[in-house]
Order: sequence, then C-alpha cells, then structure tokens
Amino acid sequence: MKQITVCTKNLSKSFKQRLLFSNLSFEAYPGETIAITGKSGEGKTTLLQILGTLEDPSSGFVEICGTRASRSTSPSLRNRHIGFVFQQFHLIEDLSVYDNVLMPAKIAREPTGKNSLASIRTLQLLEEVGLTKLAFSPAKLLSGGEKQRVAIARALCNDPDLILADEPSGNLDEENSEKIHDLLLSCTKKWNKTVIIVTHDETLAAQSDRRFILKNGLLCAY
Amino acid sequence: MIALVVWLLLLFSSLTEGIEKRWLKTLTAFHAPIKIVPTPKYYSSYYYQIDALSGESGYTTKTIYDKGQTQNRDPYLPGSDEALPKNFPKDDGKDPVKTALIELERMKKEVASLFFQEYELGGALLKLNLIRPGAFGGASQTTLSQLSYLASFSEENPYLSLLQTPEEKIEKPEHGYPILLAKNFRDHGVQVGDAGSLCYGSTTATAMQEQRVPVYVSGFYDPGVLNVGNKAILAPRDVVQTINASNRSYLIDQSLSNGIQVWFPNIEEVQKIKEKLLFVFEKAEIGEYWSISDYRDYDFAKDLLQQFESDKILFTFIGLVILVIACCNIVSLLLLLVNDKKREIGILQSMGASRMNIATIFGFAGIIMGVISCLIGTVAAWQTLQHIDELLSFLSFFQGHDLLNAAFYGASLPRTLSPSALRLVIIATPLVALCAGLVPAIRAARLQPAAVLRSG
Repeated sequence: MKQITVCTKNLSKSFKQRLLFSNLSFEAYPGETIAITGKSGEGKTTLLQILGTLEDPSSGFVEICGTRASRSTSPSLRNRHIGFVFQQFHLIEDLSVYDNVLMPAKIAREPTGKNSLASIRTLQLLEEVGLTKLAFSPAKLLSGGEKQRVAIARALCNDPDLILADEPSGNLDEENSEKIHDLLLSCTKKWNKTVIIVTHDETLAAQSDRRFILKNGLLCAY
Repeated sequence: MIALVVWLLLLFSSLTEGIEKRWLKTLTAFHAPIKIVPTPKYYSSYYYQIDALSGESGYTTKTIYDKGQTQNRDPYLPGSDEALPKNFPKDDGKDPVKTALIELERMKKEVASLFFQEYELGGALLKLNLIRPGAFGGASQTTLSQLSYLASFSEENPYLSLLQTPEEKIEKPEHGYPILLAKNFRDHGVQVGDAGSLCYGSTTATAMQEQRVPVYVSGFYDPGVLNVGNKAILAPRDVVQTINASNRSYLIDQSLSNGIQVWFPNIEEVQKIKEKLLFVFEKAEIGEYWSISDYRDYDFAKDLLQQFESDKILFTFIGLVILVIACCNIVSLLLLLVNDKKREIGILQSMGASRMNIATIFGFAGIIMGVISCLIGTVAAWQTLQHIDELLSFLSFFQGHDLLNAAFYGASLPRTLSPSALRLVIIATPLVALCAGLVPAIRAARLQPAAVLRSG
C-alpha cells in the first residue's frame, strides 16, 4: 500500500460569514511536488497553514503521516514531519545562520553540541544550499535570496516528510527565484519529500508533479 | 525596581533585627532570659513563714540564697520557740528552694553554659566622692548622690562580661565593695575607682539611723534602652542582702525582690528551656511555689519587644506590597516583550514549539528577572550594611547632628544580613516574579501562529 504523507477530508474554512473553501479532500505522496495556485484572497495561504497544522479548519481534518492533527499532536507533527518555507523567510534575525537552521533540532530536544548528529546535519544542509561560508553570520546580514536558502535548510533540518512553501520566491528577483525553485525541487526530490507549494509563479507551478487551482472555494486539478 | 525593594527590605529587616538582637543581648545579660520567682504560695507557706518564728533563724524570714545555704530546713523548736498561731500554714515537708537548685544543677548537664544565680533587689542612696585635680593645683571634691536600685550580681557570672563596658583596670582599693554603674554615670564624669558609699536607713530602738556600706566603682555596664537600667547598681550579694535585711522600705513587691536568674547562650532556646523547667519543677512537686517567666514576659520589656515585632511585621507587609507592585513592572515589561517578539514566537511555533515551550520561556524570563534582581538587591544590601556607619556619618554631616541616637541604636549599627529576611526574599521574590511571568507567558502561549506569521 502506498504511503500517504498528507491526507485531508472535507476540509472547510470560513472566517466569520465568509466561506473560504469547503469539502477539500486530497492526498499527497512522498517525492511528489504539488503546486497550488489561485488569485489572491482565495485562501491558498490559509489552506497551507491548515495543512501545516498552524491553523484549525472549520470542519474536516488533516492527517500527516497517519496522525490526525489536533491541538495536542500539532506541535510534534510540525516539529517532526513538517518543514515550512515562508515568503517573508521568517528567520530569527539575531541568531546566526547555523543557529537558525539548528533551531528545529533544539526544539526537538536533540543534542546539538559541536559533533552531534544535528550539528553535522545542519552543516551538510548549509553546504547543500551553498551557505557554508556564511554559517556563523547573523541572519539579519543576509540578502533575501540567502535568507530563503537558510529557510529551506531549516525546513529540512529535522528531516521532515512534508515541505510547505508559501510563495517561496515571492520576495525575490527572477535570478534568485530560479535558484530557490531549483534548490527546493532538487532537495525534495533528492530526499523523497512531499512538497506543497503555494505560488503565483507559473514556471514553478509548471515544474510541479501536480497542480491545483483554488477558485471560488474549490480546489480544482489544473 | 525589584532589586530596590529587595535592598530596602533586607536593609530595614537586617537593621531592626540586629538592633533587636543587640537590645535583647543586653536585656538578657542584665535581667537574664529566664527568671524564677517565688509565688504568693511560697511566701504564705510554712517553709517560708517558719523562720520568722524560729530563734535559730533570728526570727526573720530568709532570702532564697539563705534558704539554699541553710542546713536546717525546719529551724522551729517547739520547746524553745513560741507556739505557732492557730491558722499557721501546715508543713508539707517540701524544700522548694533546694529542690529548685538541684533541678537547675541537673539542667546544667543538658544545656551547655547554663548559669543560674539567686538575685536580690533592693534600694539605697548612692553617694560618690568625685575627687578631681583642681584648676590651680590641689584637688576639688564634689559629691554625687543618686537614689538607686540595687541588684545583686555574682562576680562569677560569666554573662557579666556581656554587660560590662571595656574600662581600664584599676587596683582594688583597701576597703569597699565593687559596684557597677550604668554607663551614663561615666558620661556624667564618674570614673572607675571613684569611691563612696551606699546609704540606707536602719531602725533602732529610738530612731532611724543612717548606715553606710563603703563601695567603689569597679566598672560600668550597658543597661540597654530600658530607663530603669540607668538607676540600677550592680552590687555583690552581701551588700544587697545587708541593706535589704535592715530596710525593706524600698521594695515595691516582695516577689520581685528575690528570685533565681537563669542564663544560657542561645536565647532562641528560651521557650524550650522554660518548658523544660516547668516540667521538672512540676515533676518535683514544687511547681506551685515558683513562677517561671522569660524575657518576653517582663513587664518593662514587653511593650518594646511587641513594638519591634509589630514594626517588623508591618514593614515586611509593606515590603511585600511594594514587591508585588514591582512585579507588576515585570508583567508590563514581559507583555511588551511578548508583543515585540510575536514574530519569533510564531516562527518557533511553526517549527514545533508547543504552547508550554513558549509559556516556559516567558515564565522563566520572569523568574530570571526576579532572581537577578534578588541577587542585585541582596548584594547591594550587604554592601550598604558594610558601609552603614560611613553612610550615617555622611547623612549626619548634612543634617548637622547625629542621625540616629546612640543611646537607642548603639554606637554602630548592625552589619550582618538578617537570615530570616534573606530567607523571605530568596523564597518570595522568585515566587512573585514567577507569578508575574505567568500572565505574559499565558499571553504568549495563546498567540495564534498563523495570524502572527501572516502579519509578520
């Protein structure tokens, strides 16, 4: 039987009187890249946050790697199975690049000493995203492209099954956007991750295995 | 703010506790922590009354010291002494004084450095001849007269050294008994070695005659803050006994004039030792003859001690209220921090930090602030105490006269931190700070990561 990374059933979300979407059901599998596109305000980011257990749906449920998301399971699901890449990077600016990437391991209470597994993995990830030289620079000194590469490395730190990227290149120029897309897709393919990307970028969406459009509260296959 | 409150609380508590301890030390060195005085039952007993009807006792009642010394418990001789009145109390065969002294001797084995002595109080007119070198050669002589209380004090009493102020040693005069005067006599020109007499009236067959006991000033003692102390003279037992035997008109209350004083080094054991004494006296069936009181019961000290206690409680209460107000600052500060760090909280939550993790960070921040403030306040209080005299001199310089009355507060203020205040501060500050940290911690834990990250 094929392993399912994400499974949603009859997912609905409304804010006060406004219904964003209803009865969304889909499944995502390891190694698969899914792009969700749609106009602004259709609820793409909200859907992504529900998938990432950062927000509760109005009805329906989300299962990540077989565990149903709830208030009690969400933190560990986010820590162990999900990695986020945000449009605004959301790095902790005062920390170094290395510490930012290592943070999920620290939250998981893994040993993070000099020769620990987490530390070695962090340095490997930084090498993968081409930031070894900047490992101990404060995150606030990095450019937008570099910050997003740190965010990708951080998302991969705890070896999650699911990467959720919300407009990962939204704040970047074309050249950097391409680099980020390549990095995101190559890393995830390399390590057999499920990637769900919310994007307006047609090129990126076109590179995905599956593509959905969120329109009028419905998630339609492209 | 918290550090300031801790500093203030520790400083005030340490000073009041130190002054209180110093006063108590003087008080108990002078009056003894425990006094055992005969009850009315004792004075109305056959044991006490029989001496007044016995030729062997000189037809006079005996002091506790005499009772302790006598070999014959019942000196009455039915053949030669006059017949006992009809309503004369019956002899119960007990010897309350000797039994009490035996029990106290036994207590010495249980309580290290316990010392007891029989005391007598009396009164006499002190006349001192103050012979001083004259301005133009020769000598001038003035006489100091002071109606005084007399308290017997054994020279063997090891606790006497606690009372005595350091003075130059003098050669013992050829005659006269040594007496100790309150230190205010020294301030008024009396010197060690000054001689004079204790005058008292003695009734003869025809008139009242003035009698004199020669004395010399062998030193001074610190009477503490109690006014009565300044008029009390510490004299050998023989002197007080002689004066009392001749004239009892100075005595206010017979039961107050005679008793046993008990000293021991650790005053905090007073309750335990008092209870033990009550127990052993009851067991020896002499409990009804003795009233055992400790320094907390002394009429002359009770008000002062109660006031001290009230001051401490009041200030501790005020201090705690200020501490709570100071902790409100922690709440405001941490709430601002939560507001400032919303984005970081959201980021941590997106990486899997639970609400408890987030709450712990801010709760811990509260405790850390409390602990650091507590440490700063404690160090500041300790440093202030180390330099309190310099600080007071500085303030006195601006005021133009001494800021604190030396008679009341002593020549220098205490310099040690109060352990009880320190305990209170060490326990209360982090606790209150933790409570203060809870509000922002809960606020931080309730932040919705999705909303925070979207807005950030």
